[in-house]
Amino acid sequence: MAKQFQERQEGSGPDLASVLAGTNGIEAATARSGIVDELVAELFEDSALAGVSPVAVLAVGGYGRQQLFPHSDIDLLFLFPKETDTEKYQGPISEFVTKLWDEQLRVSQSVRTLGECTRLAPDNAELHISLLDPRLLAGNNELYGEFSTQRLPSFYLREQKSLMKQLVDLSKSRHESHADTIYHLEPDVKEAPGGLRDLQLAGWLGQLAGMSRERIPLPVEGIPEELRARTAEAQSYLFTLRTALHLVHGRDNNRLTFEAQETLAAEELPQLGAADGDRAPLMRSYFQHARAIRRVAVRQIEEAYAPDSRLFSLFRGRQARLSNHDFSVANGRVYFRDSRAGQEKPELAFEVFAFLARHGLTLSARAEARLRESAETIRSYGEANGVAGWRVLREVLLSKHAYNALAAMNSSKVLGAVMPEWRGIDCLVLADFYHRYTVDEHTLLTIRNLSQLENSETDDDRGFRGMRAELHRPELLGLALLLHDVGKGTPGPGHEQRSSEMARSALERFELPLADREFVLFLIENHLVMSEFIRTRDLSDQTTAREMARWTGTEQRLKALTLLTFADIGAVNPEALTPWRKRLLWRLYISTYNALHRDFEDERLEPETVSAALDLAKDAEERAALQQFVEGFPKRYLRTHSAEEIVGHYRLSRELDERPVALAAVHASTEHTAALTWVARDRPFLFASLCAAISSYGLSVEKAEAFANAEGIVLDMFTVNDPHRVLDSNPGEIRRLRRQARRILDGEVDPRQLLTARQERFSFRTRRHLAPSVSFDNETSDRATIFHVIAEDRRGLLFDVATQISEADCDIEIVLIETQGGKAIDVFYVVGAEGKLDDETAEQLQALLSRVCRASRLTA
Amino acid sequence: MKRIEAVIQPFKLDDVREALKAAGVDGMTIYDVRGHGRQKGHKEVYRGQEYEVDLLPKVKIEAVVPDARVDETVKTIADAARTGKIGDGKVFVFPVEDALRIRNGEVGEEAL
Repeated sequence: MAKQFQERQEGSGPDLASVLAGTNGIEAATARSGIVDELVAELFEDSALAGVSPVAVLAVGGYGRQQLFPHSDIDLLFLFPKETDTEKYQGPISEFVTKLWDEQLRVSQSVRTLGECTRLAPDNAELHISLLDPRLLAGNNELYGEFSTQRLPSFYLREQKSLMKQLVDLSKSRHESHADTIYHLEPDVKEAPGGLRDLQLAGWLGQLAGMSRERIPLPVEGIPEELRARTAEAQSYLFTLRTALHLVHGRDNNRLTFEAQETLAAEELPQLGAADGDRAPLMRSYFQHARAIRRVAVRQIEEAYAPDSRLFSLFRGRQARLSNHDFSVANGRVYFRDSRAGQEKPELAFEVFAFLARHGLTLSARAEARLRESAETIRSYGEANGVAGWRVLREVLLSKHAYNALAAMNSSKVLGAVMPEWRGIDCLVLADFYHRYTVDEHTLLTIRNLSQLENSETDDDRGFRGMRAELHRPELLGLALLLHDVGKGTPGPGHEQRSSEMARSALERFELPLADREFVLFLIENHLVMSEFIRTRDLSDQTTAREMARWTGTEQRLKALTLLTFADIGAVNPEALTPWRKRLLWRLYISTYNALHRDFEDERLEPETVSAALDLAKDAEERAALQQFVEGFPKRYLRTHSAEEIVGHYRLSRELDERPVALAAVHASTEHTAALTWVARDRPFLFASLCAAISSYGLSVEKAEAFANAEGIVLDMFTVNDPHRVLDSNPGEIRRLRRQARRILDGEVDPRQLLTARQERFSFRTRRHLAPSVSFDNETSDRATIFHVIAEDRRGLLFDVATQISEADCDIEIVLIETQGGKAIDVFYVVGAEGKLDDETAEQLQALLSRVCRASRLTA
Repeated sequence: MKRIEAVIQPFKLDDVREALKAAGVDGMTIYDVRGHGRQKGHKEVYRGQEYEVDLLPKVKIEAVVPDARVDETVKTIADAARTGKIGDGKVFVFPVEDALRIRNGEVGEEAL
């Protein structure tokens, strides 16, 4: 018997050679099922079960579907009418199964009664799902008839909703165990998202959904008619691939390992896209088909939840109201309204992704098909319209749905149209011990990591969490992440430099300002530096921090590089960014941050920044004046501002010839804040007066910095909350604000009265109580006493603190203000008439500042 | 046979690994750990706030070597991991009763 079976298997079953000859995986799996069917029937007839027992031997699961791969398990169900029979025939069943094992079949058998099969086992959804595809192999035909046409259909009719929910939950946890992505370097073609299990999932959900109203005899077709054509090709591909993998591995191993990729790529396998020894086409072909299956599975999951949920209907109804002139929204999916979108109106192919990102929607299959059909036109449009591409990309990067929108852009090839540099890493597999995903997916996951960080509640993420909101241009970090590995698409060592070179052309096409380009290129070129530092440097050594501070140069660069490193490591594989590694990164960040801040004392100019600023001077006269202007500003000022900003500050200072205080306002990219830059000659109470003017105007300060140059010209830079863009849209308001400051400085109005009136007009809710903390540090700086103030924020707090310092006959040399939530974190570099304060004076001032911080209202 | 367990500074891992390799010790297990000895941890100041860090990131290396090679291995680790500062770490040596190579059933020092 064994010999006969082996002969029959070899006769029609596939080995690698027959796969090479073009055997289709579906046909091979069906053929193998047929062979096993015959064997089971023959052995059954020879067994003690035949004739006398009431048993029905059923093929279930994959075998039930006639999908037996070369080394698949054989799932058998021994079905009995009642429990006493199962005990009675245990011996003959064992003998029968042993004979199957002797035939080298791996049998997974279960013995159950009709009742057991049709009683819901809450923790065993797999059993009920496996019974969706039963097939009689041998034994009691009547019992099988009752089972498949009456008992099971009744059971599924009754338990349909519960089973669908369990099935979806199981699938979600399976997807999560594969990081919810199809783009693995060594994907499991059965279990990973987009694998055969997802195809089955789509079928099962369709089968169960079809059983909602009536009993339908099994087996039934699960995948809806309209989706079948779309999955047919992908199904055929994955069947062939899995068959080939079983043959390559010599066992039931469905992982497309690097070795298997090499083996398959070495053969001519046109049906798998493998040729010429290059595994890239094979993998691209796999991902393309996995995408198709993933789309169908996702749609079936959405459909499973859609019916009978009023809340869901309401939500969908609200989403439908988002429809506009260009796009319509139905069931959470976006459709093109204009039939010319794509081919004649390629700009809509870009805009639709900004729309998706804005509202957290998904692209409809029809819209995606339209994009695929118009791929060439969209590609040409993207290459010729860099600015339009960047506008959309920027909006996507700033949205909280960035990952989903970018993933949709990638799968529809629009991302490659916006950034041709991207095309080289599309589905790119690079053999790497640590990386688990394709290069494009790794890149997109970095964006997801950043979004997830904002909502993380773990202690290890606490320090990193708010960092993105502190970036002046967070979209530039996103852009750097998108481009940081594009160099991997071209051969050669040192992909950072190649990525940077490729990014340079993208940034030029996007027409980004020079300073922004430098920022992005810096991040790309140095994206491995912090990882290298935490691995190879002594983080307790100050020289490490100083070196990193020199490397990064500015707080903005440091924060962006830290976040980039955080996101990049986390996207290598799910286990890469351990709490241990986060702890190291955090240590490096804060020691570098502190090193950057200690540089206040260093008066040496940054030659590069200064020379870049001088180059922007319009003539020799301005160049000389600019040189004079930058003299004496601390190093920090020159590090934290670009050459263009420095020239802007100088030009603003020219207004001091006409007025005592000059003011410029620019709206920041976060769109709810404005940057106010004041220039004035130093005088007592200057900073306090400016704070009063801002507060009396109803604006709250989120950040502030103040520096003075050798000539006593003071630059006070505030980031204020302006959600309604009052300053931006009403130029007259700038004049009013400047006038208010001048009146306060000239003593025409009393700032206390102004702020008191403001407080009476607006009542504030008391926030959570935060005990204020005021400390001073006479060690760090040689020249100034540093006061650290942490207190609950309130209107006028900054004015109070600054006034207190001025009233103590002290000058504020440098100010750094941050407001996070309701917490003000302020640092003042304070000097007295003779420089640094002695400890006694500092303690007195500390007590005064503590008093004003404890007060709930204006005290000064 | 002895099991050598070394707790070292993370940035010294590559040096120690290379030194062990050069000394002919190829098999080792490496863990990311946190802890402190006499170093006790330290205070970090960030934006004016102090954070007490009592458990510091360290790396633990484990290797099992024949008795005859214990001293040499310990010295190799210590030399490669030393910076002379507090926090360099420690090396511990434990007796090992037996070893078995699962693949082919070799036992004792043969299995190392």
